[in-house]
Amino acid sequence: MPSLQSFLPGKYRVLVIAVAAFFFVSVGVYTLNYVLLQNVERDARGINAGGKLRGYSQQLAKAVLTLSHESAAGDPIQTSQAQISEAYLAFDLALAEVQAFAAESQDGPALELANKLDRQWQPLRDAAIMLLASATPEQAAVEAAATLSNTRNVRLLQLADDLTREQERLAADRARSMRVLQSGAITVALLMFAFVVVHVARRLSRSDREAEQARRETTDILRTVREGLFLIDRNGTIGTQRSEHLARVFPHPLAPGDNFLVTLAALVTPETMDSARQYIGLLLNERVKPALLADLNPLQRVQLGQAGGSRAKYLSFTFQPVRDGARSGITGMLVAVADVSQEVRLERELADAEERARSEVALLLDVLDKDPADVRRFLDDARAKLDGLNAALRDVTPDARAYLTTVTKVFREVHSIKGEAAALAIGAVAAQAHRFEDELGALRHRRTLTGDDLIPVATGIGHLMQELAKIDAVISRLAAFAQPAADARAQAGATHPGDDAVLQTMQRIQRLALAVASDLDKKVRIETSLPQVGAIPEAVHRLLREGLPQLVRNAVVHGIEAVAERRDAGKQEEGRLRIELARSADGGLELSVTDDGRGIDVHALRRRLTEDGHRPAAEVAAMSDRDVVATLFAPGVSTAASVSEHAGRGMGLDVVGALARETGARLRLASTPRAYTRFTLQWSPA
Amino acid sequence: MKARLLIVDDSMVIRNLIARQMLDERLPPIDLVGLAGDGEQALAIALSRKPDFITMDLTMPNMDGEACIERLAEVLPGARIMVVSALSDKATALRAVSKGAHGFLHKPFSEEQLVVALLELMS
Repeated sequence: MPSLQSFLPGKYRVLVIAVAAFFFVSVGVYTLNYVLLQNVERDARGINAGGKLRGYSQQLAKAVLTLSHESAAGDPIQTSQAQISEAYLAFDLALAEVQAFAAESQDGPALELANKLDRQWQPLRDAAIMLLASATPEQAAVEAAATLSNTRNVRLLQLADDLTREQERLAADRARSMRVLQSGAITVALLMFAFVVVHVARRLSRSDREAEQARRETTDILRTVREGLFLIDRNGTIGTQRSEHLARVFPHPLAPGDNFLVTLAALVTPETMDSARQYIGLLLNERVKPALLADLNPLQRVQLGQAGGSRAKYLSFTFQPVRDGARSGITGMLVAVADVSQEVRLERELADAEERARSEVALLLDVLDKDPADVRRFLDDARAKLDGLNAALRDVTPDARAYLTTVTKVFREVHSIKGEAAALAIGAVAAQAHRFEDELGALRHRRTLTGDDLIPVATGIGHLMQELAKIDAVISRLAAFAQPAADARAQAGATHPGDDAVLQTMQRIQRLALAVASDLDKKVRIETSLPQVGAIPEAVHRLLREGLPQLVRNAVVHGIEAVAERRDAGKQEEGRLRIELARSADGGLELSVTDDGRGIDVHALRRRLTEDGHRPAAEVAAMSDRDVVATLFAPGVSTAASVSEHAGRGMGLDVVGALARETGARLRLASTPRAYTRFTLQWSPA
Repeated sequence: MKARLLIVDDSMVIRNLIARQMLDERLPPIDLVGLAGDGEQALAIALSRKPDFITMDLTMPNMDGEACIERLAEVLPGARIMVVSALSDKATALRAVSKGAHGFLHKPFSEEQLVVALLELMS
């Protein structure tokens, strides 16, 4: 059962006790009044009875005298007798009242006076009774009664007067004490009332002061705090108080009574919103430890505004459960909103800086185990190509067809740069070129191109140039360490690359083939045959550097089948790739790349030509198999089903074809479906 | 009485890694009641051997971690479950916790992180 104390919080206890005391005092005063008023009434009756005694005594004396005269004159006396009877009975009654009053008041003098009255009265009473005993009383008895009546009447009047005075004195005494008591009680009651009023007033004023102080402090806190603070109840309804900072942090109006979750839903993705609902549910259910929940808050970083834009704003929302008391349940939550954009930007910048440092280290490591002369040559070639492309962009005829031709040219050169970069294992450049290819690929499939479409092409060339410049810087620094050796080798490479240079190129290409095969989950064994061919012309070496990687990549990607496919076809799981460089009998050079893969599927190629819209179906149908195969060396034809970093853009063989023409080589292709493919390049003797 | 622990992970390496840390002197005495490689095994072992604590991978064959946590919350509500997962997004962690997990440890973790997480789970 709840105790009284729980019903009477401290600040009301004194008030209730004071009111109860006031009530009891009031009841006491009322009771006293009631008793005293009864006494006053009795006093009045007593005084009244004293007065009656005088009247009846007079009346009796007068009646006895009249009877005496009537009896002497022989007149009838019945009337006088009736008056005597009436007066003596009334006197008896009044005397009884007086006696009762005296007995009740227990006042000595009053009692004595009453007794004296009784003693004086009894003989007169006897005489009166005797006069009434007969219709014709004796004259002598009448005379005696008249005499007695005269003498006693005076005495009785005297005594009645005395008694009345005594009663009046008693009543006055009582009235005085009654006034004193009443005044006292009323004073006490007034004092208590005053105490209650003063106490309540003081308490009210103190609690007003405290409330005002608390309100002022709360306002100060809410105005000063550098966080957006507001309260929500269990249903997400927003409370009336919030910090001033909230309006600065949170651009959306949050009106009291709105639902926070509804406002939030407009700002975040549906997935984040689901997580947020789940999270708030967990906060309310109290089963999960707060420390764990702090880590799970999905609203620690909410992005507002343009995604990725420089003006993007990030807010952090944190939630603190609110309870009525330490042991009671959660009634709502304090939501704190902070702008963490600055933090996020700093983190991003730090991460970018780390990424740059990391990629520069990776670049350095990429380049360190390469021959600086190879890398330098690659850089020079690549830069020359890019400069050429920039010039082509600058001078392009303003015409959709010319735009497309230019984009295709850029694509081919970038693809070539990618192949060489991959062969040299310069990942950063290969990746940049691959990204650029993606953009160019999208442009090539547009129906019409405008001048604006070439802007990202120029930017892409710029980015690729930047990557090359980074490597250039690294190489220059490295070169400073080993200047003489590098000079010697560069010189040798510039004139007639010897077997050493060819061997290095071949090793690089082997590594490329193995890397591509491993990326595609294929198994491949590479055989190279490089008999002493002596010095080879720079033109051939250029083809080895730029064209051979494309042929090898092409063989691994398109020729060699996946392990399972080879098994099904009854071949060894490991595909074979043979690269031969040999002198022909007439002193010319011959380079061949042979794989034992699936060969060239002419039907598939025909289908592809038609489907891609490269040529009209009728034209394709009219072409010989030989012509169809020859299209492999045209830009944009590939038999790979999807684009990867390694192949599928239909550009590798295009590069080889162009190089063959430039270096004066004859390009031949031999293939048997499901058996092999061989590319051969032949150079006549110089 | 020793704390009864069940380790659930489809990687033997991870299972052994967690099991090895049981001897860390900061942890209370632990009785390893089982090692499970998927959710179904975990459920079977949990039902027969009633572990007090469970470490739970999320991506597993047969029955994944989330489904297993949900079932365990029904059949063995007293057990405290710590998710040990490489899925590091908060949404996954939140889902796991709302289904009944009591803690979350991201893979890869250091031995120190594992011990601290286990202490937290057992406190």
